[in-house]
Amino acid sequence: MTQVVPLRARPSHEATTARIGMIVFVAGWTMMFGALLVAYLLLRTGQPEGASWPSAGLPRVPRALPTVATCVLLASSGTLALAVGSIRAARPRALIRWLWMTLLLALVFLGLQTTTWLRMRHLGLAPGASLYASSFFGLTLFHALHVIVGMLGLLSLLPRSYRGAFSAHGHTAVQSWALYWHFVDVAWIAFYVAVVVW
Amino acid sequence: MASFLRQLGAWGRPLDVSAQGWRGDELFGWISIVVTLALVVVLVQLALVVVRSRRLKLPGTTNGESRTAQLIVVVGSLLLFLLVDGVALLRGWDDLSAGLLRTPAASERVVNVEVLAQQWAWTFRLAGDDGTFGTDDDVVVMHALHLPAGRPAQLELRSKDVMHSLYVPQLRLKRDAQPGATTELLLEPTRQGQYEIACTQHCGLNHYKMRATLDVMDSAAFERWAHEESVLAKQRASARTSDGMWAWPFGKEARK
Amino acid sequence: MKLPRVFSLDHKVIGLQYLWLGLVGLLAGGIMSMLIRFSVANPGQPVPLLGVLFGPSHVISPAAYTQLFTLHGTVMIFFAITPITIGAFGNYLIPLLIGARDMAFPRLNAASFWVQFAASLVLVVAAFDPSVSVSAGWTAYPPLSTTIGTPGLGLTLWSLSLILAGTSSILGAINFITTTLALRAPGMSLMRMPLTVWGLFLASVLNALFVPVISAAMMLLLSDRTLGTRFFIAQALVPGGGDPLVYLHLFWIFGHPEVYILILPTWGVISDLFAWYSGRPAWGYRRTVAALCAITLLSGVVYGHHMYTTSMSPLLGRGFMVLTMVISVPGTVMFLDWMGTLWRGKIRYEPAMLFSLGVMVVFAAGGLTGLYLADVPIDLYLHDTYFVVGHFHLTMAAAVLLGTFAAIYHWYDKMFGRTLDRTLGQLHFWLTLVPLVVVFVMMLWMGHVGLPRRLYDASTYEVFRPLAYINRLATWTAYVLGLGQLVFVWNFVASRFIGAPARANPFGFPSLEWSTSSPPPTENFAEEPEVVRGPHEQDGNGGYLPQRKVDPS
Ligand code: HEA
Ligand code: HEA
Ligand code: CUA
Ligand SMILES: [Cu+2]
Repeated sequence: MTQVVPLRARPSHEATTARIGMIVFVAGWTMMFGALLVAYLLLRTGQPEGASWPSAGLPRVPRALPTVATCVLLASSGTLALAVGSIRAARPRALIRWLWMTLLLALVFLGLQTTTWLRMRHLGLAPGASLYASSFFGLTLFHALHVIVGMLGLLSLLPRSYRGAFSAHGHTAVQSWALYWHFVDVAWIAFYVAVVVW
Repeated sequence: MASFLRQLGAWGRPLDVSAQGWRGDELFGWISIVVTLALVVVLVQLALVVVRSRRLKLPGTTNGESRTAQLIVVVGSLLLFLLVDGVALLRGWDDLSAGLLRTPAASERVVNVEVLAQQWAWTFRLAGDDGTFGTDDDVVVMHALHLPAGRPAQLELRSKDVMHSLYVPQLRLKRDAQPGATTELLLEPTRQGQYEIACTQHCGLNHYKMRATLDVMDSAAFERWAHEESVLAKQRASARTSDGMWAWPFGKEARK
Repeated sequence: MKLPRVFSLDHKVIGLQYLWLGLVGLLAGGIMSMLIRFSVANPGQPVPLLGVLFGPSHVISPAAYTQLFTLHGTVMIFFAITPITIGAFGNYLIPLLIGARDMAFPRLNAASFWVQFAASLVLVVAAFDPSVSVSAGWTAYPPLSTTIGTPGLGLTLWSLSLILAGTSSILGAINFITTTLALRAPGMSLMRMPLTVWGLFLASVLNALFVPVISAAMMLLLSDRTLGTRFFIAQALVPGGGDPLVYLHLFWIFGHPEVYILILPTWGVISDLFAWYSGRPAWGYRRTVAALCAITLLSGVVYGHHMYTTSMSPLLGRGFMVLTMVISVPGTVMFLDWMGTLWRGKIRYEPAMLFSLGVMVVFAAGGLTGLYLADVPIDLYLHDTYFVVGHFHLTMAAAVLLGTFAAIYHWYDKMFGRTLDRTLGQLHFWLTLVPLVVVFVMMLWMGHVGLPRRLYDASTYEVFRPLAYINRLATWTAYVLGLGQLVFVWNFVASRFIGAPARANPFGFPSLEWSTSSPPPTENFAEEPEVVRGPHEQDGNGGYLPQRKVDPS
């Protein structure tokens, strides 16, 4: 292969490509979460007539903990928005602070979820106990997986933040992970309404 | 014309012995004609292209976006659509409502049959002399479905384990048996004889062995047979008969 | 940081890696198809040559047979055709054809290849799992595919493998869509893109939107198999259970778009090749684009035609019947556009063109047989028979396979800097087209007679015994088909070393990739190309004007 020196430097498209990429990603993942929700709706509405939900004799998952968890996750979206706002206002120190804050809240969220799962097992709601328990476990575990991926993503931003790699005009990675995080947040609200509240 | 299409569609197929099977055959015949014509057009065009290409000095310059071109393409596509799909929709709709998926009137002396599919066997149950399912005189037969010729039979299918599908080539119909759901199939055999029932939904290792026979009998003979079996069943009934036969409450009472 | 070349981020290297991975998959899937054909013709007989695969008796058992067709379908779709048409050609061609230096996200691109690679490894492990449990069909309907029907590690790994392959496809799609939308060279408007790029772009759109659906289904299945959940284990089997029909909906919401994902790249490629090898403009370029878009849009709403015989409501079935028929209209528009391109064309019978013409013939047959299946009254008879197998092999295994070969013959020079042997290519074409058509038309016929698919031994049924003869004939024809592919393997491999060095643009093609060397350098173009016209504009002497602005100097 011949060595080539580009004659005319081409403009960077990073901001555009990151935005389009994230839009496509969110569209795809919406389909995935949507498919799960549709599956859940079909399964639940397909229960035999008169069958209760959860099926007779099974306890319901207490709503309190998941509700707190929801608030925590919402708050984490807020802190992350503040993080993006900070770097946009050219305040890299604040960015770092808010990122840590977000990670902390995410950790609390996972902790609360884990507590819920443990309590469910305690109540006799193992994943195989009933369709109700299956849906609860299946959807929340699946969502937690996405929270973990998001946390890894936010973590990966930290070294660069400390290095001062982000600026008011160059923080595409921060924006992309923030978008991802908000998406996971919105998805949770849908799941929360579907499996916890309803 | 109709009978020609019917024969064309049935060409090579096992003999149709049902009241409604001609519908699919006829539609098949009609579509075959249109499809063959379309294929001939395509092949002839290709042949012409090959022949003319040799004599051509320069390739043509039309880009296909003129009014005429648009018209040819749109009209061509719609024509194919109307000839195949238009006919199929008009006819197919009717075929379904009036034939394959119709609800027979009680006056047609419908035979009700409950079908239980499991790996890898078919079980058929008739209501017996008392006309209700779930009683001691139910006639339960494995591997063989007995039906009277000339009367509609309404099958209700269920499955005990995985998905199966009941298929009778000579009746031109199939229907899945699904666990957790009841599906219905209307069979209208017209001709006495023994036919084969195949399972056409992959259901495991021995899927290929999941065969049963369809015995279409003369109506009077069927009545006689059903009565004898029903009496026998009643004589042999014991408290545990149903446990031995069915894995779970089977029939209307268990439907969602 | 200097990475070894296998971990290269260059889209061309990644494209070639995909190509090899896909070709290995194609070889594996092809060998499996030969074994299927052997077993169908001689159920229970010892297999010659490859018998060791089946234990000391050398016999394909019913269990092994179910595993064979499951793996064959899975490998061909997800590990052969997808990696080649989308992975290899998408990667290699999109940046070159639109005048970009590379993909928008090179690292994501490499990641998607390695995830696909991991998926392949997982599938290999699954295939050799002693439980012989990768056997629920490529559609894996539950409850057969849950542990109730098929316990064993194999099928669990299979669903994991599909999740990985799906992730790879989604990552790839994000890249392709972004690249196409954001990185086109100046002057390369959407309506100046070669149709190949349109096909790949639309396939990526479908990939991005519908592969996540099967990922969701597979995740639920996997969870049923491992965590003990019961989404798809029916109510009737366990109290408080789920519903297998939900899986069917999810699977086909993905499954139908998937078949268009497979064929859209081919449609794009041959729309271009018909023009380029006949000296014609792509007839009705805009209309073809519109038709492709229409098919893409409609592809999400016809999936119910795979479920006519299930407990899905018959009314829904009728709705799907109408929609399925509507989707054949853009199909026909596109087809007529091809006919228009060829009309008054000055054809050059290069192998790539021969294969494209072959696509046209087999796709006509395959697409038209879809019209039978769309009709509920006919499908109630034909569903799950060899008629369906014939239909989808004519569309996929014939049309897509031939289209893949067409693309390989057309771009081999560019990709490897060597020339494929033309005569061997033409020989390969005839050795492929003829047996292909014969085999699959025989399958149509057997299905028309009523022969069910996925049947280990058809002689179980007396009605189908008369078909034994034609079944054996089909098998022998398939062997010819398989042997014919050796010509290609030889040509492909040997030309790498002994083929004549390729020139930059041997045939005067107008698109951008031919304005750079063969193979193109890293970053593709010495200078950013400026595009001044569409991909098929004639120069009036039987040739084309290059898309790229040429320096007068
Ligand atoms: C690349 C793959 C591909 C393509 C392109 C298609 C295209 C089509 N398919 Fe097919 N199909 C499959 C792959 C494909 N299919 C697979 C894999 C399965 C089964 C999966 C399984 O069960 O395992 C399947 C199954 C399948 C079924 C379910 C059958 C069953 O299981 O019972 C149906 C039913 O409607 C169907 C219909 C159609 C239709 C209407 C089209 C249309 O898009 C076709 C449109 C094309 C045309 C209409 C032809 C072009 C026009 C001309 C040649 C005419 C020109 C000439 C003149 C006007 C003179 N397909
Ligand atoms: C794109 C997909 C694809 C392709 C290409 C093929 C190709 C072939 N298929 Fe397949 N098939 C499926 C997809 C495909 N199939 C699917 C989805 C199923 C359903 C599975 C199920 O029921 O679950 C199926 C099922 C199926 C059956 C039905 C089994 C059954 O229901 O019981 C049969 C039977 O004959 C069959 C035969 C063949 C044959 C003879 C070919 C031939 O065309 C193969 C010819 C090709 C080769 C011999 C390979 C040549 C190799 C190369 C060119 C590689 C070169 C390599 C290098 C250069 C390194 N297939
Ligand atoms: Cu039962 Cu196949
Ligand atoms: Cu389809």
